[in-house]
Amino acid sequence: MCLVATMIAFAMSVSACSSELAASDPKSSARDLDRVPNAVDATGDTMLSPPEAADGVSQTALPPANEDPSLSSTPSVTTGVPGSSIALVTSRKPLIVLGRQLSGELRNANGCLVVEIEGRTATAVFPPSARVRDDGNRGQFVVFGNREIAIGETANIPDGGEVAISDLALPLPPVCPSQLYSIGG
Amino acid sequence: MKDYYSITALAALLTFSSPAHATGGLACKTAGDEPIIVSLGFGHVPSAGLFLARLVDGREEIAVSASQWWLSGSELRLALVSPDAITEELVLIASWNRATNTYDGSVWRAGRKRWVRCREA
Repeated sequence: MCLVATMIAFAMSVSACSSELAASDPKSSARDLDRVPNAVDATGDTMLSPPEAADGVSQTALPPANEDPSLSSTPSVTTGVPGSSIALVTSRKPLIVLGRQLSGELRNANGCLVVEIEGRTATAVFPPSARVRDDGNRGQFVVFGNREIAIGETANIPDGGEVAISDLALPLPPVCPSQLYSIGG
Repeated sequence: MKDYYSITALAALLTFSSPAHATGGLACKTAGDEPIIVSLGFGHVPSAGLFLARLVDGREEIAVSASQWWLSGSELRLALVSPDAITEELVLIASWNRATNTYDGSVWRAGRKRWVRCREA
């Protein structure tokens, strides 16, 4: 009886070790990732669009940067730009704004689109219709309504101000600063 | 006796380590008999934001939520909307007045512009 139990324990140990080895094997991990259906492909299409995308907004749920898309359950809002992995945060609906215009800069910070304005860095929050347009050599732009703002360049930031987190369309991605700055209403 | 001092010291520590000055407030008021009063509560740490916005017009309290705001050393801006975020209730734009240590500016409500002064509360 004792011998049988010892053999079963030994067999379980060997099985567990082989699983760990498989998990730590880079080739094996790569093969596993290849099988992940939601990994970002060349078209930029990833997961199924959330219901909010039905209004014509190009929104695709993507996980935070530097994480395996198949492992993250935290949704963020971003665009379907080929090769783009910027989390573009949008508001649930257009906001009544203050008409405040300042010079600032949009930039990609660890996969989150942030705005730097008056020495503060905040997550940029755009109207529901906003999307990122990749213009090849000219760079990337955030487009909303009839406006567009270049990413990575000093630009005029229209209608800006702080907003409440409850106004966001989807939960704030963990990679994004908790301070929020709404742009364009 | 030693225990008594320890407990007293702990009580004092807990009392004075509370997050004093973690928040701040502004009270804005227009001139006239039936003033518009806006009460605001701000967190002092980055990203704490605006956690309170209250609007009283004359003797009536208006249910509002803050649509957008900006508070810096030189400027205060605020847009208050109805709780369903459809109706604009008030817009306040004020600048820091060094002489009075207040934010002075204007509020727009129901198509009317009025002078306003905001003091730290």
